[in-house]
Amino acid sequence: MFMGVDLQPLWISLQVAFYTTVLLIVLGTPLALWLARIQGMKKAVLEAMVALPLVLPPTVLGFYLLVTLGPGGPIGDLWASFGFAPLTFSMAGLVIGSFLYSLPFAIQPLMNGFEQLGQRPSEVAATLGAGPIDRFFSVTLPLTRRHYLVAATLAFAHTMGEFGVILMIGGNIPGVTQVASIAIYDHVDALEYSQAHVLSAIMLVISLLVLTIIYGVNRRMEARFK
Amino acid sequence: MTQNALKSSLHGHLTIQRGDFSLDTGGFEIPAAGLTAIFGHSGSGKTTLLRCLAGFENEAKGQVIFSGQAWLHQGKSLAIHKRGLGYVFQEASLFAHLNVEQNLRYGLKRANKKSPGLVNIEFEQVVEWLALADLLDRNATTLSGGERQRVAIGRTLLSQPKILMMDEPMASLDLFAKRAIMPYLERLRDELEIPILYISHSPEEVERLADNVVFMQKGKITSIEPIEEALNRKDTPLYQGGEPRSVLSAQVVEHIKDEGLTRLKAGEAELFVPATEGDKTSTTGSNVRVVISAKQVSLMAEQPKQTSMLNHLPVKIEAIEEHNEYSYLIKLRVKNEPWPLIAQVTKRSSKSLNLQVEQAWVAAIKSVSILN
Repeated sequence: MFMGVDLQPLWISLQVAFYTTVLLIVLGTPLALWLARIQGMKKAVLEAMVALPLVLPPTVLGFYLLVTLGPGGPIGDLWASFGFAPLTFSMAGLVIGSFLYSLPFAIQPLMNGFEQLGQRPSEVAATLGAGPIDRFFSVTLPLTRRHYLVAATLAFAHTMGEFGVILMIGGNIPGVTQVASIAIYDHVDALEYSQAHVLSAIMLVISLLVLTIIYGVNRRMEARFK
Repeated sequence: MTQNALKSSLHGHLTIQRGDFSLDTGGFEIPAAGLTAIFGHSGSGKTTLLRCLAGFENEAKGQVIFSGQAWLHQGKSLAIHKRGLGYVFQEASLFAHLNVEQNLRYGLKRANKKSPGLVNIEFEQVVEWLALADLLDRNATTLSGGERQRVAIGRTLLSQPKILMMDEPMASLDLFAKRAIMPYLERLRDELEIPILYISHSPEEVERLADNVVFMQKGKITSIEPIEEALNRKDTPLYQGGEPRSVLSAQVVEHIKDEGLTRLKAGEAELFVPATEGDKTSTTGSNVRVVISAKQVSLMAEQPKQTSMLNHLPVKIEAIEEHNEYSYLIKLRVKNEPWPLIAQVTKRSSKSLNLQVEQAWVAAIKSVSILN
């Protein structure tokens, strides 16, 4: 409690944003590498699929996720058959939803980075005796570090501000799936403006802080490489 | 073809289809010794061939065997980082996030890890060879074109390659930088025991650097031959419509300052050339390439007692070929020497001298020039 406001939703928001960002960077890297390499119709279709959350209403995405992941849905039933707790209305469900919703924000900067870099540095590293994993960490990653920073920032920020998808798939269970953006809506709905003010102000400060730290790190990195 | 010859060569056959362009080499065997130039006009497929040999092109089909090791065989391609090859690209392609020393050490570190104690080319040696000492702390992005390419060559050498592939390493350099880097390449060729494959579309470069030449035309390998053979025929593929000429390697024996001459030895044969500016010809013991135009060679019955010509060598006629309507090309073999010499003689002279194969003559050479 802070000034009479329950801060649990903020904590949940940060957790969801953190897990989603880590997942997006780890799983997004091979996907972006692959997308940067392929060409033609295959690329167009896949790029469109990745970009879909940009144009789709979040409720549509959330609705389909609820149907597939929920009990009776294909993935939901398979998941339950392994004896796991249901994905819907849980932290895991929030992260999966956020992952898909923020996918384009992570993939596009990474893909642009890999395309700009081209194959050459990796080819050079191969002739110098570096294997594929070694090549990625010693050459590709350091040379696209700025794109990674952009991808992580956008993914984190976008997940923090998410509303519709989370509401659909996570519901609004206080202490479990109630994130800050939804809590603010609830407060306003209940005409608790002072609580809404506190949460909103904290969100504003956190967002500004995260962005400032990231841009600061970026500048220091650039300075070191000069 | 003996088993031994196969072992020390890069051989196989390759095809690749690329839109309108197709590469189809047929069977080839490139000697894995000295410097082999890959020569052809732009669009003839030189770079594609080298990239296929190195393994960059996944769609390439065929076979590539290097010194008994299968690089491409029955659809299986050995990963590039396991082939032990060095590749210098047209643009230096230095790693922008590393400084010069870190760039140089990138391959060395990995070679050390793979086979510790098997490093033949040392860091200090390469720094000295390519004059890199003043550049080590510099950022790779602040170097000039020539400097960048020297670093790239050094970086490649330090990865301890068993074969060195160079794709027109001087193409992006201006004339000044080219002149500056050429001696380094000659040094690599002479002092390393690593075979070098070198793409070029410049006849002058090939003439000066190559021991063997792979000629390419429209995606096909038209011939693979020693540089001497390639130059001393009338239809030399190196110079279109150019003059036949002989090229040979010689060593600087002595620099005679007051006479303005340099004495060279090509095998046992002695040649005098006008001393030229530049350190290459004035250092004794250094290797130089010498060209002798067929027009500058005339035949005499015996060693002349009095002549203004400085260079005359005992020779034997090996072959007589028609050059044009009025003259023959006479292929000569200098006594005890491996290199051929070629003379252009008018049909009238040939008839009056009654030139025949196997006859012994003296070749008088009006002018000899050093390539630099």
